[in-house]
Formats: sequence, structure tokens, C-alpha cells
Amino acid sequence: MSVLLDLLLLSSLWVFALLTLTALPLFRGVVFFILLGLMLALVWIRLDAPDIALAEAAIGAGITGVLLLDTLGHLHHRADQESSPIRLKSSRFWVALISSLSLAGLLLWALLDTPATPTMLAEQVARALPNSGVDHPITAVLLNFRSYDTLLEIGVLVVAILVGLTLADKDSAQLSLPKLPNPLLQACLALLVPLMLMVSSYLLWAGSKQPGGAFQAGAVLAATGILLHLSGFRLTLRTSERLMRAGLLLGFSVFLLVAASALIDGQPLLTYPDHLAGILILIIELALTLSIGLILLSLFTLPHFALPEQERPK
Amino acid sequence: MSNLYILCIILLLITLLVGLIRVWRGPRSADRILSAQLFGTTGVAILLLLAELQSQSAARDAALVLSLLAALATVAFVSRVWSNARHQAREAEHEPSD
Amino acid sequence: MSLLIDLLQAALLLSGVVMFAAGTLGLLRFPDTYCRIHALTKADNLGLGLIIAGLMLSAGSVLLVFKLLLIWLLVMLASALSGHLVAWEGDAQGMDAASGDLPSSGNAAQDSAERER
Repeated sequence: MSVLLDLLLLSSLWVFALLTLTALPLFRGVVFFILLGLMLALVWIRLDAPDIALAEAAIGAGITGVLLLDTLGHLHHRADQESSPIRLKSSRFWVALISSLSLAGLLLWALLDTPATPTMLAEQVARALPNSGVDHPITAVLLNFRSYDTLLEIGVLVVAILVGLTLADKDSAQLSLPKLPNPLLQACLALLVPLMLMVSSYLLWAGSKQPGGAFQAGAVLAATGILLHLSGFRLTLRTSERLMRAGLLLGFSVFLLVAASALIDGQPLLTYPDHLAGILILIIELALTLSIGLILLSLFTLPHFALPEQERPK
Repeated sequence: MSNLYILCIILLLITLLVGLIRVWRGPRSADRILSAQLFGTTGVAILLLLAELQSQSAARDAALVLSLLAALATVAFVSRVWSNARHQAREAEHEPSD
Repeated sequence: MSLLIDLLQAALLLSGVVMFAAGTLGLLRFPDTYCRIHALTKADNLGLGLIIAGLMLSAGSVLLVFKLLLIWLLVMLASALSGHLVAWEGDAQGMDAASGDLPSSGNAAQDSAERER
């Protein structure tokens, strides 16, 4: 019976993925993509990976789907929405083909090249867990044992925003979108927004002993901001630009500061003293949550940052 | 008892797959986004059943997050994609429309 | 006693699944967008409610019962909101009801008669 369930989950994942790729009116593809995210969350739970399932639920339902829908709203001309047929002559096609094939090859190679002797990582983590300052192994790995990776991930988010900033230009005038003056929506916001903030802080707090943590909490926080933005509660350009800069700076710099403070003590970078580990991780997580929330929100509000008149490229 | 949960999950997954027909056919984009909303509800139900089946309490957190954010896609669709089209249509009103 | 509870749970869960199936059927068979909103906001919320009621029987702690209840209320809020938004925007855009497969002429005559009053 449970084999049947797994087969069904697997085949529906395939169906959703194929439909997402082949759907031709772009809107159809976006809806399938949102549903694919939902399906992925189910599969991750089935695989006993609730941390990823939580992140997928928060980011898939709250961020990526909305970003894609927003992009569709920006594509004004009907011609943009029809994807053009594949042209064998265009160099873009070959670049895409070669890069995706080499990525697939790389992944396959990584899959085949697993070390012969199992490294028993789970046991090592379990043994070191009491000294890590938290009770949840995933959080311990992300923010203590392998915090280098997490630091670099935040760096990647910062780079993503910088790239986005270079793309935000020109059409900004058209993007002053109308509000949504719906009374029921406003009433629901009064219920939803406090709940979302509560759930966000719950996820952050839960991260120390069960699935949850900065990324999930940050995604819910960003979704709150996006919901407010969509329904017409908007900050002025100047404020949101400042907020974005604060978000860019906060997480990365707090993380770096904590990481570097170990150097003063003569320890290597990114080691926490055992008795302080818990509180340091909490500080980092708090800063990261705010930072990730602001960064993800900025990805959404970015197109509205008009460049000052004199800087605008002619 | 766990067989019952699995049976329910399988049946719900089948309704999801059957519901895909509506997403594919449309005909309006509103129909598609409504089906996506319905899939979200089904997804919450499946997550809750999975939580019980695998005694994985974090699955309930995922269901909570999903239910909190369920309306977001529709709000984005109505405010961005759909009403945007209307405003453009209004701007281009001097051209005779169908 | 526990057998009774098990039976009750099975009945609740299965009828929840039936409601979901009814919702999907409605989504497929109803003729226009306004009708399909019914499938979304009624059948499925009842289905989820029944499944949640079934799960509450084996929840074991009061906190968990409240969490399940909260999830149900949130989903109802979300689908009510999105059903309303779609209908509201559709109405504002002059989206027409019944796109052909239902005999709507009688209703339309009635509607216009009501409007004239």
C-alpha cells in the first residue's frame, strides 16, 4: 500500500514537472510551477525531510509563485507571453543545451562518485550535538558545524539583490500599479498579518529544537511584506530602498562580526565558545531572519526603485 | 489505522491529478488560479494526513505555513496580472475592442 | 470504545475525501468561473473540515486540536478571500456568467426583469 503511495507521489511529481516545462501560454506554466512546489513539499515530508518541506512551502507558496505572477504582470505585450519555438540556429539554444547537459553530467558524476566507505555523518553530528548550543541537528549543522556554507549563502542572496538592482531601470514609470481597494481584503489583512508575524517568530524560535529556522521564518516575513505591498500598503520609495540596504547589511555583517570575534580569542574563524554557542546562534538567526525577509521582499519591490533622473542611462 | 491514512492520501492525490485537467483547459486564467487554490487546500489535507502517518509533527507546521500563504497567489494574480490587463485595456480604450 | 472512535475517525476521513472528490468534480463540470468558485469554497473546505475532525480524534493533546482548528480556519479564510477576489474582479471586468453549456436564457430574462423593477 505504501509502495503505491510512493509510486503515485513520484509519478505526479513527474507529471507536474513535465507540464510546467511544456505549458505554452506562460500563465499556465506559472500555475503548474506553483503546484509543483506544493507537490515537492509533500514529497519532502514523505522523505522525512521536514526542514526542506517547510522551506519549500514557505518559499514556493509565498515568494516564487508571486514573483512569477508579478513578472507576468510586467510583461505587457501579448507577444512576450507566447514563448517562441525553438530555433536550432540561435546560439542561445545551444548555450542553454550545453550548460544544462553539463550540469546534468556533473550531477550524475557526483551521484556515481559517492565515497565507498560511508562516513556516518549522522553519528558524528549526534555526538557533537550537546556542545553545539541547539537541540535540532539541522540547525546545528547549518549554524555551527558548517556555518561557513550558511555565511556564503547569505552572500549569494546579497549578490542576487545587486544583480537585480542593475536590472531595475527604465520602465519604472509604468510600474506604479493600482492598489486593490477591496474591503474584504483589508479586513482579512487585519487577521492575517499578525498571524503571519506570529508564525514567523514561532518558526524562528522552533529552529533550536525542531524543524524551522531563519530561512523559513524569513520567507514568511517576506510574504507578509509582499501581501501588504500587493494590497496597497506601500512604503515610499526612499524608505523601502533604505530598508533594503539595511537588510543587505544586517544579516551578513552580524554573521561576519560573530564569525570574526572568534579570531580575537585566538580561535579559528567561525568557532563559538561552547557556553555562548546557543545565544550566539540565536543572535545570528534573528539577524538572518530579518535580513532574509527584507532581501526577499526587496526582490519583489525592486522593479519599483526608479533610478534618479540624471543617472538614468540614455 | 495507517492503511486508512494511506488510502485517504492516495485518493486525495488522485483528485489532484484529475483536477489538473481544469488547470490545463482553463479557459480563463481565473479558472486556473482557482484550481491552484483548491490544490492548496488538498495539499494541506495531505500534509496533515502525512503528519499523522509518519508521526512527523513538523508536517503540521508546513501545513500551517501553507494555509497562511494560501491566499497570496490569488491576491497577486488579481492585483497584478488580471487587473493590470484591465487597466491596459482602459488605456487603450480609444481603439475599438471586441 | 476505542473501536468506536476508530470507526468514527474512518467515517470522518473517508467522507472528507468524498467531499474533496465532489469539489474536483464540480471544478471540472461546472460551466463557468462563478460556478467553479462554489466547488472551491464549499466542497473542499467541508472536506478539509471533516478530515481535520477525524484527525482531532487521535490528536491526543488540546494544543494539537487548536493547531488543527487554526489551520482549518486559515484555509477557510484564504479560500473565501480568493473566491471573493476572483468574483469581484471578474464582475468589475464584466466577465460574463455561463459560457454556453447551460440554458441561461430563462435566468437572464428573470435578471433583467428584476433590474427593471
